[in-house]
Amino acid sequence: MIGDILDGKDKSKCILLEDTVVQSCVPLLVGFISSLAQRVERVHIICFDRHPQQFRDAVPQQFQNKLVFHDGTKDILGISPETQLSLQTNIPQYLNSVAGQPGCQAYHSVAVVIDNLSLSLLHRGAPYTCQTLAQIRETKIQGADVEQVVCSLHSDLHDNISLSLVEHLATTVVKVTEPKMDQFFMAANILHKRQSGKVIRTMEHFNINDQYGVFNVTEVKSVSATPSVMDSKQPDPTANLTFNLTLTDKEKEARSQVKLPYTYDREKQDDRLLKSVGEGKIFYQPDEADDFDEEDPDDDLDI
Amino acid sequence: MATSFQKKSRGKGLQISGAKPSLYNNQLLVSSGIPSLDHLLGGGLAVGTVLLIEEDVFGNYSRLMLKYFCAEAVMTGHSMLLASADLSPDQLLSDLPRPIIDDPVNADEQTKEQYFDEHMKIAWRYTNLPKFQSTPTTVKFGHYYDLSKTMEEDLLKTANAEMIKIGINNADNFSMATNASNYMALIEKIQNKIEMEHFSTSSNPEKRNILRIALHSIGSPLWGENGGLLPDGEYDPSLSRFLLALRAILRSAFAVCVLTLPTHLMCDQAFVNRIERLCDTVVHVDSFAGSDKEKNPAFKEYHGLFNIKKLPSLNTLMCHMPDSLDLAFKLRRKKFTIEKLHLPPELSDSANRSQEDPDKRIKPESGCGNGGNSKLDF
Repeated sequence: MIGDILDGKDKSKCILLEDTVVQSCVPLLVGFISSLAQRVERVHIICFDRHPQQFRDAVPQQFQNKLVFHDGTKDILGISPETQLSLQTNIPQYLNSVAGQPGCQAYHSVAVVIDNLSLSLLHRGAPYTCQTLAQIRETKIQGADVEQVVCSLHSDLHDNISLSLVEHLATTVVKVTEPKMDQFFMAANILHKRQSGKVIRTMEHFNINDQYGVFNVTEVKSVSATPSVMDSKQPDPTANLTFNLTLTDKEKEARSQVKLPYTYDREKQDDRLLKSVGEGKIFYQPDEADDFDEEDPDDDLDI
Repeated sequence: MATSFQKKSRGKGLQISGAKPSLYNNQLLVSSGIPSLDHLLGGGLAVGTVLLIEEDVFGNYSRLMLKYFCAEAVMTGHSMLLASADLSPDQLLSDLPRPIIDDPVNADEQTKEQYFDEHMKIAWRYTNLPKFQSTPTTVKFGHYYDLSKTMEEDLLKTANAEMIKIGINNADNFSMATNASNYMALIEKIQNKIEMEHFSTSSNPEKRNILRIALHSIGSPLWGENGGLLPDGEYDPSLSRFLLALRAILRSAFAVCVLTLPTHLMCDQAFVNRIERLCDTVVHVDSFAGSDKEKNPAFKEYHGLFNIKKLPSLNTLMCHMPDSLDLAFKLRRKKFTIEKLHLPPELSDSANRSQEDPDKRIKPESGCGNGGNSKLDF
């Protein structure tokens, strides 16, 4: 799963990487940057948290020319009026103005990576952050479509409501955790919402190679999810029957010809069914005690 | 001698296409686009009321229900007002499912009749008994839609629809609006539309039409809502105010509103209850997608549970009561049905046993009887 998302085989418009102080998601984020550099014309990387140089050093050399770094760490609160990028900046507008400069142009597809949303969530609130994210996802940057938005987030810094709001917006949420087994480098809890409406939840362990690709992906199933062994031992009710369930057509026809005692033929059935309630006949044989007067039938009534 | 009995004349009543009077209270009803939902709500959505659909976690089925509602507006020629922040309303409109004109129900019945023509041999006395059906089949009100196709362009062009994209201000393309201003702008637009296009009960247009208002995912973060909280942690009254105003406007208008709301994103239950109170009908779509119930054999046939949280009681003290409140929905390509939740037949012996075991453990000590295995215990 994680490999497909990283390579772009499983399409996802907005990917959210959540990490905690225990396990950083930077290796995975660099993996996404390298993978995006192979898929789109330009990758815009907006840095609020770590200095761009950190990513520049990590990403393999051959992808460097596709990356455009935007440094938001110098003056994050936008105190100086000359600051181009801060938390006060409207990011879609900013990207649009910057993307026209030489060395940044793209004609068809770009991707945006944001490291990270935590400061925006803390300073500007969840609705603002979500609206920004939705706008980046939908706008065109100088005519080029935004192929994918990848953002990271320190999940241990926020309350549940803010987190659920941002997660609601993302199409894929990758929660990075510490691996439970020693042979793995990282583990991730993945929630992937496909365009078709199918939702996939998995827990995967994996290693990361020196090109920042993932390998040795192993899915960890929770104990309750494993199907019970009982199913294989279920008795077959069709075994040891006293009658034959697999009749051929010829045999079936022969069977239907047999006339059993007390079975009604079609005419007799129809005759029975047509008679509705109340149409039964009464045969009455007057006995000697009956005093039936033809002229006055109600003679015996005592009113 | 002439009788004093006079037949109640319905002729005076309003004749609006796509609307019919309720059989219970003569309230004017329109179809929600899902015949089985209409059936549950007592025939349809009453004009002048608000239906709240509480979204499933990933919002897929609630969006679909809203699409059915909009598609029904196109089919009946009703006016429509569609607002969304999460999706572009134009995209929502162009994605509407294609109506099935030749009724699938009739085809169904035909095949059934053919089946019964093969004469019954054993239980033949049952031939003429009426067939039992848990979902209503005779549909002259509302349509079925085919989800695999989108609505024809020509048909869509006939739609009298107004689209409102929330969140992006047209004047200044990138300004972020707050939730209160979003709601305020929307309620003004609704009011204007009702007044300008004569949907109000006080106006007398030549030809009456009905306005269908569809609000997609209202209260999601993109509307500027922060889970119902203000920055200082107090409850945010904007959404409640909006709903109150909306209902007040609708009561005196030939309009009906369906809104979907992601209640799972709201801060707490009290806030959700407050919202529910301000709507006439409240249903909750609980999809199995992404939850453990997806694999539960008891729910194998269904795609989710359908909870009715509130039914409208209009001009009466009693509301219409459906046969059962234990409901589930399933989605077929040509049909979205809500029906009684039936458990699948219990076929295996082993499953039976595993159900009995926990029962014995949980058996309460203080039932009828004083503990111990008295014969009077039950």
